[in-house]
Amino acid sequence: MSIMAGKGSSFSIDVGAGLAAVSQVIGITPPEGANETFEADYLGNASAGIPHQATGRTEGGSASAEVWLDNTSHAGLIGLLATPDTNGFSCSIGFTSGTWTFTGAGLTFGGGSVALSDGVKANLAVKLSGVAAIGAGT
Amino acid sequence: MKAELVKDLVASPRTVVPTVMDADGHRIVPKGTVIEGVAMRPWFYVQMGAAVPLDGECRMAAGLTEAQIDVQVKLYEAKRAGIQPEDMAAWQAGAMTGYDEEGDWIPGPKYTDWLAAHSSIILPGGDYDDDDD
Repeated sequence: MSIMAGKGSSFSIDVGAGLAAVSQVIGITPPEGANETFEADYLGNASAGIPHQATGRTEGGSASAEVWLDNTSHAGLIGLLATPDTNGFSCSIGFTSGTWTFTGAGLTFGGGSVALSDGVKANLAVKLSGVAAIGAGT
Repeated sequence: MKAELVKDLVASPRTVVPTVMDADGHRIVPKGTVIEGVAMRPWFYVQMGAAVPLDGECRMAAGLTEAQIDVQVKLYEAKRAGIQPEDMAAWQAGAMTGYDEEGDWIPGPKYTDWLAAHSSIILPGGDYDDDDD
């Protein structure tokens, strides 16, 4: 059993020539996959419990990160909003602990909070296409 | 429209340029690789600090000055290693190169010099090095 340290984590994007790390990341939420199910109840079921069954499909979910906004170092992300594409992404958790690699169908960037007594933050989110592959760290 | 990678980048399932295996068995796009053509978005890698433009068209598309590109390239390894803001000065001084699996510093070549210059700091792991103890 082990507990991964959050320090050393990174969030990267690939537009065709390899995964490039996003700057000034404060926090990362890795993708949360979920098996798709349906309610499989039937007339006359006397049991109180509602049965469900798997469809055999999996929803890949989404991944997100919070960053300190910097229009210079985040210009690449802003550009991806103007010219959308299906991209590769990875969340590397800890320096060597583990990596989620996945394909993103769409990117969300912006929408951060501007508090006068704090730094300006922005949110980065990716809708997965398919499911993430989880492997050893890079 | 061309840019040249100045960092080794780990490949993903979306990578379409030639890759090689590194010593750890990871598929990477090696530094020196030239990214060419509008469809490859070479300016994106310049904006991210992983590449430098090879022509004026790419430089214009990136929209960054030479000084801004230099800063992005210099800070790229810190981004990849997930260096936290409070440790950035130590990383830039060569006192640490990243974090181990417990979140402690991986010492850099200037680690002992850094400790000597900061005699009363919180050491990696949370120990408090106070000479008054």
